[in-house]
Amino acid sequence: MSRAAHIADLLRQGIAAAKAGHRVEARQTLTRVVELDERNEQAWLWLSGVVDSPEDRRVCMENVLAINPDNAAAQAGLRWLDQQGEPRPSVAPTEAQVCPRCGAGLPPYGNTCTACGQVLLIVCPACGEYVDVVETACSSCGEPLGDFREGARYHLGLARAYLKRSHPALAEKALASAEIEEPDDAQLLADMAALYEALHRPDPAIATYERVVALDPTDATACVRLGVLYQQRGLSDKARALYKQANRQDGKDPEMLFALARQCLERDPTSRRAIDLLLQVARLVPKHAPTYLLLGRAYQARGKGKTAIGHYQRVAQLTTADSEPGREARHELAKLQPGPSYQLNHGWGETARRMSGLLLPLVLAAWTNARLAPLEISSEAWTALLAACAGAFLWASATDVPKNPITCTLLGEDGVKSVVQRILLGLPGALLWLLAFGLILIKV
Amino acid sequence: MFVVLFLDFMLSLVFLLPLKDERGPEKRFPMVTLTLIVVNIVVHVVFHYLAPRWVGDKEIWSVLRLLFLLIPAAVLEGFGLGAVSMITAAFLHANWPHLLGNMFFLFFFGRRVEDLMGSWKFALFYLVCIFISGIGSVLGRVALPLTQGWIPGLGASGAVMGVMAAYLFLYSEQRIRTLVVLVIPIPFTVKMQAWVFILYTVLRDVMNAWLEQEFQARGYLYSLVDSCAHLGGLVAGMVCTYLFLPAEVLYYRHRPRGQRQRPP
Repeated sequence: MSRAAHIADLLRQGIAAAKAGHRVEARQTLTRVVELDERNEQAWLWLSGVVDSPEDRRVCMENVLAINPDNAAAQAGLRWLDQQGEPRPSVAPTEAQVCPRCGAGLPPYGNTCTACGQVLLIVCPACGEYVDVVETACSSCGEPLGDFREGARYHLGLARAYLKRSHPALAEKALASAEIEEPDDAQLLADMAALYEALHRPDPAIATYERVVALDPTDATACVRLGVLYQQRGLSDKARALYKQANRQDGKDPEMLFALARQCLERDPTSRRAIDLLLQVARLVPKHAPTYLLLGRAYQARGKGKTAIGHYQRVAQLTTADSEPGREARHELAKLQPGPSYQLNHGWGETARRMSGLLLPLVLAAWTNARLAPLEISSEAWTALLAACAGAFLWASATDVPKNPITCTLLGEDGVKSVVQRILLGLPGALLWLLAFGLILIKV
Repeated sequence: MFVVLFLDFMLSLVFLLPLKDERGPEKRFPMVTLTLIVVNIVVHVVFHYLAPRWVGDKEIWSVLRLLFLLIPAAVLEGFGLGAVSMITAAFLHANWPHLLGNMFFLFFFGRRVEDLMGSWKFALFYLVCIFISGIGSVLGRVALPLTQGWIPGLGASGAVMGVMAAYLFLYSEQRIRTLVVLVIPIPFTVKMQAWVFILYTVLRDVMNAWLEQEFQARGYLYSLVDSCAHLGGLVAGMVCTYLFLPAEVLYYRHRPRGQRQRPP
């Protein structure tokens, strides 16, 4: 272990002991740290909290200021000592005996300033160690934490970091700290509301989105999200009003369009307007499976089973069998089209079958011209058969099996999709086949 | 042999003509079926009435027209038009009853098969039936001891048998109202399942082919019916239908009865 790592480790141990109230152990460990690194500001600061005599405390704080004259905690601590003239009772140090935000004196215990509510110790999202709020990075693992002076933004960043690392309780606390800052920035509030949603806390999410919409009625995303939450609460009218408001601001927001379409379908499962909205969403976000699921339901309700099948098949392609939309789509497909699987319709076997039908007349004609002796089929006839094979594949790809394995590999998962592609493949295929057939018939 | 001869004789006294099956109207217009019928009629008129006049010389025409007929021995020797002669022979008929009989059966069964397969696939399927029935004719008639495949053959009956076999493959339990004329010429109709109707035809062809073989072995001709072509067409229809049907149709066929559901 390197020296720096050893020092950091000792410092960590010393701080932990101090927090746990093991003053003797903390003092010993932190003393060892300052012996190894006499310019360790953190160690001197924590040591000031675990030494017994005020003189020792003063020495520690003065050493801190010698290293970093701008250290507010040490400055405040010395001022306090000067005012009191008495040794300060040892406390689990929270970076300083004064609040870094409002400057109020701190109680002996507790992680929050009683005056302004400022959190004094935070948990590092990466390593879980306690870190003073004034630190911009974790002293244990170096994880960047931000500047607490940014207020709500700082706590929002922490909340995101906690949520990312699956610490929902800490994320909620961070959001609560952000609330204390009373942010009035609509974007910030929107981010907070989104985090509440991610934490499955609809009540604070609704309250926050309402503040966002009040501050900025043109925020289409916030309108949509609030509409969705209202919808979930059964407040359809309020939701609809918000969707329309969002639509006025940004008619192309897919989330808004989707939410609006879903609402239309709830009122009328055969709604044509809902279908139009969903088709818009599908154009904007082509791989959004829930859109195709709703389209399938809508068309099914309208009695257009074939169209519904197409959309359900799209959902099945985009999702796995164990996802909710995937399960529903597969279930509906099984009911509507209890037929052959996608593979059976477009796999190697089906492709070969389609091509065989096209090739059989040519093979028979070549065999006949060879006097029914396969070995006497001429090389020219074989060449013509090969050309016919290619032509048959092109024609089959353009017509019967557009999503065969080869076209999917070459052209993407949708295979031969557009009319132009079909013509470009089918026409040469047909011509090739006809040419080969003609050549075989005239006994080339 | 005499038993078979008697049976064949008895069956020849029965005339079956399909009139109507129980399927509803076709979903698509039988374009290819009707086109084939029209082409057959036009070719018949041209071949028998117009072409002789265009050629002028009867002897030259009698030789020239052989090119368009299917002579099995010529195919095996590499003479003539080869595969082309199979196609041309399938559009030629000996006389009007031959033509009309074949066309009637083609229309009755072909429109149903085309309705399911689709027009272009039905056309390809018909072409395959022409070739396979032609190959059957070549192989069967070359083996005949007397004629040894030198008698020309013509007619669409091989291909039409293929179409009938496809119908059997697809709708074997369809009941067909059939006109039956027995030895006493009092026609009556009866509903019989498709497989019965086609079985009658197959039996006749099988017996006919066997009897032809036996009679020629004894130095006689039995009949001019090309039963081998019919049987070849039957094989073509049963086997090759698989290659031309939509995947869903084949899938539904192989599911247990209780689970069959119509697609929307």
